[in-house]
Amino acid sequence: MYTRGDSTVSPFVIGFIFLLAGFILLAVTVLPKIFGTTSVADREACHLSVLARASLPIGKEVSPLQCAPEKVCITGALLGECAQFAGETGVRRVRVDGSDAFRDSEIIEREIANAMLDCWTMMGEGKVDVVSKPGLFEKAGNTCVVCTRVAIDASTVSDSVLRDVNVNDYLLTEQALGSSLKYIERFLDKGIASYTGQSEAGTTDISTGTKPLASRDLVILFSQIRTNDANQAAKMVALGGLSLGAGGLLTSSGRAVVKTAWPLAIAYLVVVGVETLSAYQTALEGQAVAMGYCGEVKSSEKEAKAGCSLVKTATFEANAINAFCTGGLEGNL
Amino acid sequence: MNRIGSMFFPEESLKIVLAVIVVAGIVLAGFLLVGKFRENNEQRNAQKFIDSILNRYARLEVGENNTFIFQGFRGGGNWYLTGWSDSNPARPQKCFFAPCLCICKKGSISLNCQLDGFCRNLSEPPVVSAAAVESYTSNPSGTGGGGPGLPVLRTPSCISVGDGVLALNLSRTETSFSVYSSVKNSANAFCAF
Repeated sequence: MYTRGDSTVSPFVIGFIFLLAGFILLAVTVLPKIFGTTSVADREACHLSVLARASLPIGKEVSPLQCAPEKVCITGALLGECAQFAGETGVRRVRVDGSDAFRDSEIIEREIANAMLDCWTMMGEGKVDVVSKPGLFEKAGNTCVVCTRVAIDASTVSDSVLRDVNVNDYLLTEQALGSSLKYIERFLDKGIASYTGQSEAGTTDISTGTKPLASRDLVILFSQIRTNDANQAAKMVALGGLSLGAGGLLTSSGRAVVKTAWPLAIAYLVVVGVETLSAYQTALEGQAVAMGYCGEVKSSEKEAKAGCSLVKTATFEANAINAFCTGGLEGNL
Repeated sequence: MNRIGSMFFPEESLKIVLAVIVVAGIVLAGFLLVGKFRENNEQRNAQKFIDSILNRYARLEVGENNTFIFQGFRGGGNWYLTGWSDSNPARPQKCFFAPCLCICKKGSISLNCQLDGFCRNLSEPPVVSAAAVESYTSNPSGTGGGGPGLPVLRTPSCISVGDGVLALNLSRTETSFSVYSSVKNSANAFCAF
């Protein structure tokens, strides 16, 4: 019979508590370093700062974007590291095992597609006014936010894997993570399965791109340009080196699959000849690298607003980013 | 009520004038606040920029060099990066007796670094340079008059920050820490002597 003060505790319980504490410590400190981390809190903070910005009619820079890029290292080794992230912290490791090139390329496609979709969602799907309207004497330019950096480890992921990577095809055919819709449908807010295989005047079907990944150091960029005139926005995006599929899908080398919406933009692009507009080298040449939206953007301003927003991949290289992001970079790099 | 006064300043008119003054005051205050915020934001971003270089510097071992990409900021065109050795008598006072890397607002180089700049002390003297740009001689030969002189290629001892991204090659040796931009930028000409 237990009496008051009898505090005998079984050694088993003590052992169990220590084991549990050890496991928690391991889970909090070591495991994230091994398997990488995805910071949902960071993404939410970014999304909230985007919404906060949209609510400001003027002086949007008063509310800075709290967006820092997620760093993804695609490696073939269990504890492999990407030289591109040397000395950097908070890198999420994604492992490809190297035994099946097709499967590995699919993992890379999935990472890029997810990163693009995450970025698109986080930045308000292009319908939220993130950037400031240019001042009276300022030139409108593409303002960018770096959502994700994707590095592919050169020592453990072979070129043959990269040759099989076809992000276009993946976006068109695969279901988005946690959704019954395909990636393309999630981007466009509607079913566009009929796009596949279509080609219209001056445009090319995006699924035909077969060139391999041109870089092992990529960024997923969100870009937005704002003007009061929708046509002007389209023109500036186009002249900035982007092709434009109105309310729809864009490709890297100036080729767009265009079906509906925004006649002004389409008309402009058809007249100019979209093939001539590709002024910069993109990372996934020949492959669909950008998803975008042109039209009205929501803001607290009462006046008419228009803008073009898109998510694209690019080589993580200063000249390429500067050539595209003519309005500067927001958030943190 | 004075009839003449009420003819010139009817009650409604006074209210309207007052309302206009108040609204104008609020708008002015708003503009001043946004302007002040922009200025502070620029300074905060300038500090962030130099700290990000220092962060890389701290991770570089002696003998290593690498090219890193740094993010400029809105208004970054007004700022430049430069370095001072501990033996340079023109170095800003805020560097004290150590070599330092500074980000300063454009203008008179040593003065602006002291008044409107942020400096960080290093163990090795920093050498900041960029791709050679054309700059003009102050005394044009054979002309004897004012105006710009002959263009010559000179290596700037500073790097203009800008609002885009910047690729900088950082190299650390036992005797120096070098920061080099391979981009030929005419904005760097003002510190190419």
